[in-house]
Amino acid sequence: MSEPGRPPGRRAARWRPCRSRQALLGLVALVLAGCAAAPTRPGAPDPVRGFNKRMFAFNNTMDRLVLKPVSNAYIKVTPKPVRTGVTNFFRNLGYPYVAANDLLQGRVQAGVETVDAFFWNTTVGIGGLFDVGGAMGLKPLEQNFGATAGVWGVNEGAYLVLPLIGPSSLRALPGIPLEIFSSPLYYTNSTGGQVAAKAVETVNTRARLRAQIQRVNEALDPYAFLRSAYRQRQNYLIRGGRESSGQELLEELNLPPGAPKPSAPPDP
Amino acid sequence: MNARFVGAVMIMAGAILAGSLPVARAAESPVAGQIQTQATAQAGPVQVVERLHQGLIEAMKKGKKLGFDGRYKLLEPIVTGTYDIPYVARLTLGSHWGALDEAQRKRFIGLLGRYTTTNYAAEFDRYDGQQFQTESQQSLQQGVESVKTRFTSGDGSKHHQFTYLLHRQEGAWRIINVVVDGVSDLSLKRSEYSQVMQSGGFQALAARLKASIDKLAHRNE
Repeated sequence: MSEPGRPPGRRAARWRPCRSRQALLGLVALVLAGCAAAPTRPGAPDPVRGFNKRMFAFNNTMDRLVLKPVSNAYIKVTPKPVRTGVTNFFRNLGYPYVAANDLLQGRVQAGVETVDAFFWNTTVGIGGLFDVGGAMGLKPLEQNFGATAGVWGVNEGAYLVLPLIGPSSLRALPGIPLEIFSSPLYYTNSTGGQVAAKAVETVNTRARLRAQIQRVNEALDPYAFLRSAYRQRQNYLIRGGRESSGQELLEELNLPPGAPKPSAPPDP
Repeated sequence: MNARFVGAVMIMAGAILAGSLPVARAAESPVAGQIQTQATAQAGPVQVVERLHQGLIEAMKKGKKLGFDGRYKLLEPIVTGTYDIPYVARLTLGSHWGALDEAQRKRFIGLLGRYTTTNYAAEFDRYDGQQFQTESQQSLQQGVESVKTRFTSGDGSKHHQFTYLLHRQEGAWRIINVVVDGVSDLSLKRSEYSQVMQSGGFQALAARLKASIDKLAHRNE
């Protein structure tokens, strides 16, 4: 609806700057709210557990039937230095996304270092095949949008297991398109090339993390294990890679209710 | 999308787990000293952690020669001498602990001790030059201290922060939790075990622990 006596186009012209200003102010407020970061709570409920468990089973089946056999074959036919180069290449492609999150979290130094690592890897490191930045001591923490929103004070929302993606949360969802659009691969012209690159990245990642995947599968309750690990890891990223404070370590000992106090003697 | 699946799935699991994580293959203390098989009242928190690390290094260096059974025999007295397994058992089960009878508690403590040692013996099976370095010690409250250590992979390319939490029990310092890159072993176990307790009770928990011990022991056969 346009205001009476004013052409719609003119209203739009007045409206846009106002919205932009509001958005900017909102963003600044959110960034400033960094000191009120919203970590995940250990005992938080799992409101869509039924859906999550089904997706977890689906992902495991896909992994067992497709990804694991392919990655095992990949390991057999690919020398380790080649796999390291592939790992470096795709990690470097993710650095623009990491740097954007560093900066959105207000961690300017971390953002500059990530950009620095991307520059050296892409140039001297021949497109990222060699981790030159890492050799220079530049080892960016792999930040994501879920952690960024947590730094802004956004609550985690429901824990989610997404098909073919894995652990996530309501607050992390906007990170999926952001990650896609911030990857240099997205701006290449060849769709076939993009698909092939994604396939190689997937298989290489599965190969690189095979030991950790085995650890999850060997857990007493793999779903609960992964949920806890994901949420703790997100908290670690929200803290900017810092360990829990002494107070937080102590508080954990007293959870859940009924646990013995640190000074209490154990049962005989 | 698949990449993100595996990445997200594993980034989390990746950073992770105490001595039981595959990512962490080794430990070496800069402080030389003989491995003792029993914690002593005189050993401070740092010495207790370094005793564990030295034991892990020895297990790895002799990894192939000893095999799983040999590593288990080597590590069992070290783990039980540096960890307060009965206390960890109570912390892990939290409010479920009160529902167990005495026989069940003893059984759970025994299984948790075996599970902890089995994890170490299964994971720390080869030595590529990895190191642990003690960085700092902090008093959190009377009778509870943290010890921060840094793990470095054999080629020096990977670093992980291992933070141990210890309490003093009858004059001896013992480990009650370990946090690796922000992921707490105690929290992971609580999440898992409470789910199993809720869905199947103690018998299910004991059965799954035993099955997991057997699986880990035969992993590399």
